[in-house]
Amino acid sequence: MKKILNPDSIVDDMIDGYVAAYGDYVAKAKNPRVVTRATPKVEGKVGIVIGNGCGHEPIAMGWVGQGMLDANAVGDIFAAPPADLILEAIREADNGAGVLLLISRHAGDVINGEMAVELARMERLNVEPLLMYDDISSAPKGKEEDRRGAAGTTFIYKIVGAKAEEGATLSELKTLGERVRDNTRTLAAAVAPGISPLTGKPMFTLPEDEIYLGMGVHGEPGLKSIKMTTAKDIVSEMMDALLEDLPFKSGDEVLTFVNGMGSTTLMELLIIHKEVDGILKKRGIKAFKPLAGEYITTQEMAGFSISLCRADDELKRLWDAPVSVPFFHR
Amino acid sequence: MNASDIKQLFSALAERFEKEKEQLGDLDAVLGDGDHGVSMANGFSKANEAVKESDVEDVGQLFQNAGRALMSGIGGASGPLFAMVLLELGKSTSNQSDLTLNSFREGITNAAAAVQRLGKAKRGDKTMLDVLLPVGEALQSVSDLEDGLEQAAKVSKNAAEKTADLAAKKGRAQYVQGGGLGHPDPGATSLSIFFETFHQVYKAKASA
Repeated sequence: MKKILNPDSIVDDMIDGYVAAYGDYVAKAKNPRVVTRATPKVEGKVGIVIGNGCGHEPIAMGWVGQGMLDANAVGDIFAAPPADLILEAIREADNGAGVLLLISRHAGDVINGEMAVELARMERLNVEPLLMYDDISSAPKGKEEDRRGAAGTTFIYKIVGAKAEEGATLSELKTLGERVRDNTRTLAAAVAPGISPLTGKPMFTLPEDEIYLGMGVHGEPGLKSIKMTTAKDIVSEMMDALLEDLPFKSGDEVLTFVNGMGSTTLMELLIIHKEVDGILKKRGIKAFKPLAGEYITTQEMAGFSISLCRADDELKRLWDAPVSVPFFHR
Repeated sequence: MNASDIKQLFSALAERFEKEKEQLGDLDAVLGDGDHGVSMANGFSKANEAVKESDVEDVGQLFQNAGRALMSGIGGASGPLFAMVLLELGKSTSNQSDLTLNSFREGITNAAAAVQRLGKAKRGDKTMLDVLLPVGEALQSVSDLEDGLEQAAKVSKNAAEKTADLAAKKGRAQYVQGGGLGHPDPGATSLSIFFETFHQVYKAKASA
């Protein structure tokens, strides 16, 4: 492994560096594993919180700020933070109007998140969990609630975050988040593994001439491996599966997000987006303010995901609403 | 086993998981993201730190302190689930200066229920529950603590190995092709290491 780090303090060093660089946006809370907004709290605003294992930067701490998250509990590398740490983030984000805890559906995140909700309620904090899942490769159609969280959760962070700034209530935000989730679908493809900074080893193996369809955000193997092929062919196969799953129909408007997983070049991501856009046009589906870039990564993993969210006027407006965080640009 | 023996247990667990780190990590690399060994070593090291200097005589308090340290220490899915085993043992041995068969049995039985509730897994899903449930059952028909710890070590080793025949239904392993058939579950393996170490520490004390 050739990673530039101090092996005994990787996560703390990263947070220190982040806060030192972007101190005009973010700050460290009393607990140094909780990142909050640097700006004073807004009275009466519902707090938006997530806890996540790190190693996926820029999410989630890169999205703390105006229009997205209020606080982020940063766990160890690829390990959900313990419940008591998530509880600290909930306390930091609480400003009298309650807290929406986003939980990307993975075993550790769900267990610790649900425990944190129980602990918070014991303290009489008003907190609601929102389970996020979108990866169509992880459970069949009809079992959507068994699916894992992937890059399509981005639509929830952004849309719910924007609505919270407008003063929506906790229950309104939860309902809105569920609506975004239920209209979102994601499928990923992996080209090469990332290396875990903990073990120094590649997180999976994949023959040089193959790509995996349906790879999860931690390098969990997916649906099937296929022979390496062109962007046109791979995107076409993925879009067929995605469009059929919701299903997305002619006349729909969609938000689109092509996410890179760490070492896929912007050149490739834009080529992938071009293919996505062409297929949508052919099917009579209109893309609204597309997003492409590396946001939810798995170290230097090569690969990408395509996420689609069917959007009405309200979702479109909130997707396009102002946001001011260090690492979200559209 | 009194407080000093339980402290010895956590010291032995920290040492053992440090030793097994690589092997558990390699096992987890097949089914998950390869960090289970590091997590366990780290968690049991923190559990040991939390109790080693303690002067409490209450065995239950030691298990509770170790469980809380493990829970805050490692996160992920295995953190809270392993912590539940220690916390339930802490509850069942609360205010006792010696671990008894009854309180051990009660702790393990309750731990199985807690792990089931939190992890939402069932028997056969290829998780640590596939070790915890048979150990709890074996403890129903033992005569004393020595017998209980020996059975727990034996049954858990066997049960952990048999998880290789199961396809995973929970956690990251469920997404591996074939559900990781042919590979034992890392969490189940770690739990069998826990019971084996428990028995070894007991034997060493008995023969001392």
